Amino acid sequence: MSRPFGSNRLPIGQFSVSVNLSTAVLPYVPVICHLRKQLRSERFDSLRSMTKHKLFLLRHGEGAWNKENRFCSWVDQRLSEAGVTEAQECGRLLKERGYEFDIIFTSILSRSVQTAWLVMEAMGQEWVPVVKSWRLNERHYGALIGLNRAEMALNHGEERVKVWRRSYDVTPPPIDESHPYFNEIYSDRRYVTCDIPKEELPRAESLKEVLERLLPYWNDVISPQIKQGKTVLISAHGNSCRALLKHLEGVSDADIADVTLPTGVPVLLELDDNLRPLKARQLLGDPAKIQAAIKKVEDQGKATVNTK
Amino acid sequence: MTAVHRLVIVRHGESSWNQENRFCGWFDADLSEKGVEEARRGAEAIRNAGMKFDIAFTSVLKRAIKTLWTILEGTDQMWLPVVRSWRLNERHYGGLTGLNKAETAAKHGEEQVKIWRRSFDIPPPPMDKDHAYYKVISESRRYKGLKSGELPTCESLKDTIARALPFWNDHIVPEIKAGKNVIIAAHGNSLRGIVKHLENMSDAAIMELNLPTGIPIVYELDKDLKPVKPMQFLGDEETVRKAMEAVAAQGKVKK
Repeated sequence: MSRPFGSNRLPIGQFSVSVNLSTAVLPYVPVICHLRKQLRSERFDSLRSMTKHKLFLLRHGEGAWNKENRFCSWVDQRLSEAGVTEAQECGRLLKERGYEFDIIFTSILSRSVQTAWLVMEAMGQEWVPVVKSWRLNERHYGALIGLNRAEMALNHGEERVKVWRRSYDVTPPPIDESHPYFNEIYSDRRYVTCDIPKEELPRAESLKEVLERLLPYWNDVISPQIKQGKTVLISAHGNSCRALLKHLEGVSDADIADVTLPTGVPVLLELDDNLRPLKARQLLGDPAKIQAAIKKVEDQGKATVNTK
Repeated sequence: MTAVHRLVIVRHGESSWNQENRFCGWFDADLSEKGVEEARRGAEAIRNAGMKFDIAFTSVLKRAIKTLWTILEGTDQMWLPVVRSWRLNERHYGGLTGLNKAETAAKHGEEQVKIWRRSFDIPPPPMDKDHAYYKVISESRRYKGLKSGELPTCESLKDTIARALPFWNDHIVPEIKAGKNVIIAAHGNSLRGIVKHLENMSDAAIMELNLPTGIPIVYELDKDLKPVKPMQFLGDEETVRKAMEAVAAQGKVKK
């Protein structure tokens, strides 16, 4: 929008002040321009803070199988003692920072529910409503479920395993009735309560397929809560959290492979009214602890079997 | 009458304030170690009976919520939908909240205490703004959604039941009628409201009934939600026998 040079409007609050520039005032133009820029950015900041929504993501901590480096996926493991401690410390941190949740979403795998409960207990927020859905479940690893990462590398080769784990759209081989964990998963009552028939539930997923079943839930159920001004916690899994981050932050298919979420570290996303991030995601807590947690997850990915 | 539906209710166990014999009401006291153990035994009883649920209801007070959590964890049903409501809260003891028995008698006199204890519809004095627990209770974020006039400052048993029953009718009954197996983890007086309604008990009769704590109570209901037999207690033989005897003896005790 072009304006005649002689008149400039300074946006001060809701009112505009007309400033007529004459030659006498010219020396002050740089100051005025700077002031305008400052006022405009401050106004935008205050506007942005008015529309700032807080979304917290939390990847649950260690389960029994994490220690053994086996793909847990849809097998319903509980947290190990270390995983319980991770969740309690996370809760203590969130309480210290004074955060207050209005609603909490979890998957229907016990370890994500357990994590949420431990956080709620530490924060004295046991009364907050909790909503659970299979659409926040961990990625379904198909036939690879229960296999040790190192053994898998031995059986299928490091490269193949790397592709399954880190590519965006390559689906692992599906689980079938011959798989040792097939019945444990598919005869479980919880999978008859899902919003699609049991027969239509996945038998294996790429990260892309995780996002495909997560997105409708994000759009229809979680987003409206955030837009209503609720502070939301999503207590879920490594890959369901990564899939959501990819969507929210617009991470490319190639780059998402390098995004690793540490366990037990709350991730704060500040979103505008269109649920776009206003700034980079923040991992909350002591930087040294966060670094250690990131390294722990990365090391698990590199684990090799001792062939001696 | 044929049993078509099954309902399980559990009264939470000992809280830290029960231990101190203080009127708890809406104060959000935690379970004591004994209360946690009671919940664990309740979970074991349900597990041994092989009972499965489809949906759980509880209050917004942690002693009931944690009792439910213990049961869900112990029966591998942590994935169940849980609905929390203030309407299932314990009775609000108003100005008596926080006082122990001796303090209450000293403050109000033995006669007045007797009247409150024996009355169905006389509320204790209200909790006013300078009560030690006013802020932490009345201004708690969990009650922000209540409409004006809904937040109590004190309740008689009649008041408690009057605000619990709408939740029973609007939210719990439809689930039972839809064939869902329901578990309710709540408090002595809110559960009294449900029991009074289910069994069509008189005001005097419900005041005589003290539900055992930590013990899952099973109702088998017909299609109109009338109990087809008396409430059953779940647990090992001795626990069940003791609970049944305690309940039977209640009506006979002179207060």
